[in-house]
Amino acid sequence: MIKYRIAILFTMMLGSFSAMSQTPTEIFQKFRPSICLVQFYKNISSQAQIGSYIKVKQKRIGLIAREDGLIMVNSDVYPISLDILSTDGASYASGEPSDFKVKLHDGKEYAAEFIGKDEVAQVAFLQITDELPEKLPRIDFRDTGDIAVGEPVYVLELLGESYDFEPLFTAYTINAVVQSPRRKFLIKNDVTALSAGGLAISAAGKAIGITLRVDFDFSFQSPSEFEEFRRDFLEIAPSESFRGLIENPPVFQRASHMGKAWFGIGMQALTPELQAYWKVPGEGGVVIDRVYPESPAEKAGLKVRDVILSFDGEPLKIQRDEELKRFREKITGSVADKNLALEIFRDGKVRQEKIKLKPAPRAIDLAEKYQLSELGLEVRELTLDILYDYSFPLDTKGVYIYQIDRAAPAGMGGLEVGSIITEVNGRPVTDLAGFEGLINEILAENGKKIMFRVQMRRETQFVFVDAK
Amino acid sequence: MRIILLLLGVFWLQAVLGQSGEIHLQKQILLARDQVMPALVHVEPVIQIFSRGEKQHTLVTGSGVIFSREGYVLTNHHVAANATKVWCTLSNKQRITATVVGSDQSTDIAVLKLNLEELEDPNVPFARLGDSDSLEVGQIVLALGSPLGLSRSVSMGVVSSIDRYFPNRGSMVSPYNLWIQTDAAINPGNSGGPLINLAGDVVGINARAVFFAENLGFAIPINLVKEIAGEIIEGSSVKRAWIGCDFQEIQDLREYLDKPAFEGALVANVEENSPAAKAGLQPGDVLQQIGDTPVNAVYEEDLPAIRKVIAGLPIGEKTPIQVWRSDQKLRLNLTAIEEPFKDDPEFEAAAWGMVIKGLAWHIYRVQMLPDFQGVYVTSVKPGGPSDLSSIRNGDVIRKINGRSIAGDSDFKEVYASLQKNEAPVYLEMIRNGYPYFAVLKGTMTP
Repeated sequence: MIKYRIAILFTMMLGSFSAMSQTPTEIFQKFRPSICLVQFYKNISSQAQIGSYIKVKQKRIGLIAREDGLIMVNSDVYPISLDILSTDGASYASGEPSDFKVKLHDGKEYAAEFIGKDEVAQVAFLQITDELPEKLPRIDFRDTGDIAVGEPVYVLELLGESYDFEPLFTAYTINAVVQSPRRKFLIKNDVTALSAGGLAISAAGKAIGITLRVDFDFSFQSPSEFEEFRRDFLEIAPSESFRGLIENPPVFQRASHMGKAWFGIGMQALTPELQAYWKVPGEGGVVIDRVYPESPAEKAGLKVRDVILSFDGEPLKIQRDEELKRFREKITGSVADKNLALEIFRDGKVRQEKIKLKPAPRAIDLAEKYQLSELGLEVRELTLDILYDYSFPLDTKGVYIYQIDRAAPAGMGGLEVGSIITEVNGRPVTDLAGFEGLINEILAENGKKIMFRVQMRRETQFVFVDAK
Repeated sequence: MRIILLLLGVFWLQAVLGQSGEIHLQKQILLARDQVMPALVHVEPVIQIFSRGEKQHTLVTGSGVIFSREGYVLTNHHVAANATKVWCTLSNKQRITATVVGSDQSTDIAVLKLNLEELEDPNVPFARLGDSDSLEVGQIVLALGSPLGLSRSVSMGVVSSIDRYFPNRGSMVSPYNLWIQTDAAINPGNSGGPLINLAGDVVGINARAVFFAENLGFAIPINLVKEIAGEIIEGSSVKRAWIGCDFQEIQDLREYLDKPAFEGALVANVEENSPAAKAGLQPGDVLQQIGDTPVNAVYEEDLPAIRKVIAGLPIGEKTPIQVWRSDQKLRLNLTAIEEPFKDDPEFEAAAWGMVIKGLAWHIYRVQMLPDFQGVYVTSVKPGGPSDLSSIRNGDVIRKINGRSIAGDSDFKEVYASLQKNEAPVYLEMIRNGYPYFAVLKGTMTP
């Protein structure tokens, strides 16, 4: 009997020992084949000639997410706003990236293409398009619910070019676990890797997350905020924040892109002072400052100064503007085209309402374009982000100036990026196709000057461009 | 031999004449200097500045010139604006105080009055104001200044240009005038000092120098100064008419229309609900006549003159205008209003940790305001109630505790009344064109 017990104890110890027995070297060797080098060209619009791009070679860390060659990378590989909610944006100077290649640990290189991205989770997916000789060693991510401060964690990344992209394996300790606005692990970081998108592994040898790029907040106003801004740590997004995306990767279709769920309001936090003044029940909420025309919010009958107390059954305890991010992420994480419950405070009463979120419309970066190299001008169809930004009615006719060649007639005449062309030679511009027809007709007429009527927010101006 | 003698004779003659020309010029400079130098004043205003949400005082210096027996002094708006007290040092080294009679931001002109009763002998020397329209490019001018308490400086140059135009943006705004450009050194210290001709007449008031550029100084033409100073002395503030539209020069339009002799000014922007919009003016119209005055702006240098004509329109009265629109001549009636944007001093609401100002043109545009109601926040004190309530520079306050705030006098009144009863302060604002609400967190003892 005793012998039997000892045997059990011994087996248990052995078992636990074998679970603990993976040395850091073994862990490194186990995951090494699943991390790869992603190469591509960033295409920066040439200022010298409309329609031409300067190619800049870029490299990132990739992780094998599926045996058939689905590769997960940081979403910064595709810095183009897909919809009007996008925070990536500001890509006026950049075209779409191209020529994706994935180099595996054994040195073999395969062509790949961009599938889609999720800006909230900060991941993008590439699919290897070349035929693969064998299944790839994919990474299984496990739950991280029990990961706590103080636990050891390994991070597997790639070094930069000067170290020939050799793998970098570092042992860290989880220094903090933050919950808001999203759950993340923070670790003190002193080694710089090639890019974000590295793999975080627990002491037990399980994949638990990926490294993120830390967003810098330059809006600090006081010295104490500056302390906040100086961040010498690395953020790790736990498996839960992207595992669903590996199962069901976001697919971007140029022609019919469906954005994330969209609500359609401008907002501020319900501070305790506003709450007391307006006599709003509860603790915190979201005050509506603006209702975008034709948005789900407008369709739901929401109004400026309404206070949203709860969304989809969950109270919004938001008292500071910094906490609004939580609500925004909750919206983008919701399902579109489904009725969701809203609790609204209006005129002293709490009301129950419903809202059906819609996919966010696409942004100017994806709008149809027309390039006129003779004048050095690229225009795009008007998209909602521009109309909203300029507070123009949605039936505004015109085209948006997306790019200008400074040394060509358009630039020399004084046309500027960001203006909307509403008339050419006194004739109204309807849309992109209308502009194309009109401008070609005018160019064929052999006039000396072309008169553009342009609108920049509330300002109207006339710009004369030499036709030759 | 004869030829050599003849040549020698010519050289001699030239040398004598040349020298006498130089002596003559030197004499003229000294004479001109002596006419104006005694009237030169060193100006030291104590001005209020508002920085990081608080009122502060600072001492600035500049120059000025006495131009009348009564002790009126011309200087720049940017020297004397917001002065709480002004010290002036006269050429006889006496230091007396002066009061600011008025100042005008758009033209950068200010008028001070010396408190002559502080002097034992109230007879002060004063300079003669000339005619800037008679200036010619290449004409010799002297820039006089008083950069430090007792020192006086003279620099010489020529008029480089008499029609320098600056587009109506940036810090060098001058919507109503062109500038005299000179290579006579103009430094911050002689801002407000006179630019004189060799006859000793003041032809301009030195205003700006371009830093990091060589020999680029700008002066305000004295004819404009006389006009504005006259208005300031009469009424203490310059009232301008406003119609709410912008113009462009027609140089390119002439070419586009293939009408080389076409005249007028192209109407660009027309503000909603403005007098111009109410008169029926549209972007693309060409304004050809205001009242009996023909309008023509072929080049952008011609625009200030048109703005000046409009600024001088009778307020609240119909003025017939003639407009060209797609080959048709139209007659419209324009009723100008008084310019809604006043350059009143900032006001510190110390208990709220904010500084506000009456609406300015750029705020009206950027915030896409529907009307001219409100005041805007120019700065907030870090850590103060406004800062803690997320109020930011540029926010436009439209209502306080439900009461509409038309301008800074309403704001001051409401602020004073709320100081007494410690009620919560509920602000309805506009930020980036849309509403923003706040109830101030706590209050501070001013």
